[in-house]
Amino acid sequence: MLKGGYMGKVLRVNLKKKDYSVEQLKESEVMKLMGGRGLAAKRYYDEIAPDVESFDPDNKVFFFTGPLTGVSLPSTTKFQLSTKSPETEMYLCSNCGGDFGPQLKMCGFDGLIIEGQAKDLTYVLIRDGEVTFGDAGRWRGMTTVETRQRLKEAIGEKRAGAMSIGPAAEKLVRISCIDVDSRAFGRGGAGAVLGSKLLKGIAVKGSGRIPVADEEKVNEIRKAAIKNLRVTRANHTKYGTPQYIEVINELGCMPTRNFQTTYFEGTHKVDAHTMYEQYLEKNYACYMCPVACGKINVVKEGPFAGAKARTEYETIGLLGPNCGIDDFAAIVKGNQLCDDLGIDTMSTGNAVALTMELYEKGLITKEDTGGIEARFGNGQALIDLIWLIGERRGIGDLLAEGMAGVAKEKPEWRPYILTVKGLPFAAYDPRGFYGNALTYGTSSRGACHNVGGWTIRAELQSGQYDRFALGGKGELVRRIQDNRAYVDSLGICTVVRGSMNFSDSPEGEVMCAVTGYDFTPELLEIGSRIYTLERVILNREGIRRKDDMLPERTVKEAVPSGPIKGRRLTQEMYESMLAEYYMARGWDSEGIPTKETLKKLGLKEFLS
Amino acid sequence: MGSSQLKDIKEEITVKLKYLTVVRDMTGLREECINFPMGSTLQEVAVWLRENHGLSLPDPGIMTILNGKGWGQFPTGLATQIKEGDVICLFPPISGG
Repeated sequence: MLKGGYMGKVLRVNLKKKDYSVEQLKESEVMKLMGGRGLAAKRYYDEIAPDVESFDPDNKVFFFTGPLTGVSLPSTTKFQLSTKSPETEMYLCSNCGGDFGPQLKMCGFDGLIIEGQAKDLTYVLIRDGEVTFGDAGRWRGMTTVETRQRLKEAIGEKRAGAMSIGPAAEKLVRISCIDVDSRAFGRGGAGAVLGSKLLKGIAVKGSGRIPVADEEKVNEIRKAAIKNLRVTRANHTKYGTPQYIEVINELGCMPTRNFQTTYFEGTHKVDAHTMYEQYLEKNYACYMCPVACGKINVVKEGPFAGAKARTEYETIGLLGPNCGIDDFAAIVKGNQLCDDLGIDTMSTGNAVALTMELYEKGLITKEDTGGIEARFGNGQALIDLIWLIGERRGIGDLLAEGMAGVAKEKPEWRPYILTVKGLPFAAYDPRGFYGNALTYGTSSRGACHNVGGWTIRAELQSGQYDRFALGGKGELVRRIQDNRAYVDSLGICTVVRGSMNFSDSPEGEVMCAVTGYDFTPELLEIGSRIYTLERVILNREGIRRKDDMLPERTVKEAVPSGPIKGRRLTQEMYESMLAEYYMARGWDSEGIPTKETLKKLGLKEFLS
Repeated sequence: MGSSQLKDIKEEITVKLKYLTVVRDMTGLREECINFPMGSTLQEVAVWLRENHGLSLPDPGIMTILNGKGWGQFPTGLATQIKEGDVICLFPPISGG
C-alpha cells in the first residue's frame, strides 16, 4: 500500500448476522480509482446485481473515504456512498461532509460496507477496530438530530462522527437522506435503504493516526491553502451558498413555481442579504474547514418563530421560489422539518411545487390534499405538505414514492414533473444555460448539478462558450464531470479545491506529499475512468440514450418571463448536444462506452 | 422642451447597474440607473465604476455581466458599445450551490 493517505482496510458489517469482518483495501483498485466515489462505484459493480432492488436485503451501502479524508489539510471532510437508489431504482453515488469520514479513517478503515437486514431496529457503534450492535427500538420515530445525540451518548464521545435516519426513512419514504453530523447524503434516498435494513444510525470514533508520506510538506501546503482561502473564499464565509440566490435569479435560471418560469419577483426577500441581516445566528464549519460556509439561521418572530436550520442555496431555491414562497421564515421552518424527518430538501421542494401546480390548475383539489390550500406562495401549505410526505399520510404517501413513483401511478401528471432518470431537478432551470441541460441529462444519478458537472461559470465567463450556444457543450460537460469525479474521490470539499490546485488542469504537490505517489498527472484520467465505470453500471441496469432525455417542460415550453423571456431549448437542439457529448466520451449512439473507450481507460480487463 | 434640451436627451443613454451579494457591500447600493453618453462602451462603464465606487475592473473577484453575458464573451470585449436599457450585473465568482 502507498506510504500515506490510506489505512489499507475496509470494514464489512452484516446486520443480519450482527457480525463484521475486515478486508484488505486492494491496491490495484486504489491505483485505478484512487478513493471515495471511484472505490464505492467499483464495490457496487462487483456486489450489486442489476436486478437487486433498493429495498432488497441484498442491496448494500458502500461508504468510502478518499486519500485526503481526515488528513491535516483544509476541509478534508468528505466521503462517498454508493447504493441502489430507492428514488430512481438505479445506481446512486452521493457525497457528504461531517466528522464521520475522518473518524472512520482514524478507526483504521478506508471504507465501510453495510449489508444484510437487521431483525429489529438497530444501531452500530464503531470504536477503533471494534464493532458493537445495539437495540434502537426505543429510538423509533426519533428525529435525525435526536438520534445522533443518542448515538454519541451510546459511544460516549461528543466528538464522535454520527450518521442517522429520521422517521421518514423508517417509513421507507424514497426521498429520505442520511443525516451525517449536520450534513447529509441528501439525494437519491439512501436513508430509505438504511431504513429498509432497520439501521437507525452509526457512530464512529477512532484514536489512530492517518499516515502521510511527507508531514513537513503537508504542513506547508496547509498553511498556504488556509492563507489562500481566507482571501478567495471570504464571500463564502460571509454569505455561504445562499449568495447565489440573487445571482442565479438575475441570470434568469431560478426555478420558479415548479420551473414554469425562471425569474422570481420575490427573491430580494429570500436572498443572502435578508438571511444575513434578519436570520443568521452563526456560521458553522465542517471538519478542518477554515471557510465555515455553513449558516445556522433562526426565525425570531411570526408564525414560524423558533425554527432553526442550516439553510443552503439549493434548499432556498427549491423550497422558496420553486414553491412561489418569498418568506424566508417559512423556508427555514421547511428546512428544519425536512432535516428532522430526514428527507431531501431538494426532492421535497420539487414534490411540493408539483402539488401546488396541480392544485392551481385544478387537477387536484382540497379533497386530494386533505384540506390544504396548496397554492404557490403559501408557506403554511409547504409545511403541511412536508409533514404529509415525511409521515406518508394522504397525498404525501404518493409523493413519498419519489417522482418516478408518482409518474408511474399518475402518468397524466408527467407534463408537470421535472426529472431525469427519476431524480428531480436541482435549483437551476436548464433553459438558462444549455450546458446545464446536458449536465442534467447525462449525470450518473439523474438531474444533478454536482455529479453532472456545474457548467454555469464556464458558460458565463469563458470567451469560449455562449450560454445559449450548442457547440462545444459536449466536451465542456465531459471535462467538468471528470473533474468532479476525481475531486469526489479525494475526500475534500469542492469549495476548497482551488486552494490546492485541484482544477481541470491539476497541479501541485498535495497528492505526493500525502500518499507518496504523484496521482496529479493522472487525476483527470481517473475522473474519466470513474465516470465511465458508472456508465457501465448504468448500462447494465438498462440505462440507454432514451433515459438521457429531458422532461417535456424543458424542451417544449419557451421561458415566459424574466431576463431570458422567450428562450427555448428544443428536443432537436438538446439531442445535437447529446450526440457531441457521446462522441467526446467515446460512447456509441445508445450511450454505451465502446470497447476502445474501455480499453483506453484500462477498464476492459479491470472489469472482466 | 427646447431643441437643445431634446438633443441632450437623445445623446445620452440610461443603463441599469445591479450590485449583487458582496458587490452590494462594496457599493452600498442594490442598483442604480446611470446616464452615459451615446456611443459609450464597457470601458467607460469600468472607468465610471472605478471613479464612483472604487471598483478596479477587470478584477478576478468580480464577475461582470452585460444583459446576461460575461463582458469577456463579447468579441469586442471592453470596446463593446452599450445601449439604452442595458442591464449590467456585478457579483463575485460563482461555483455552484
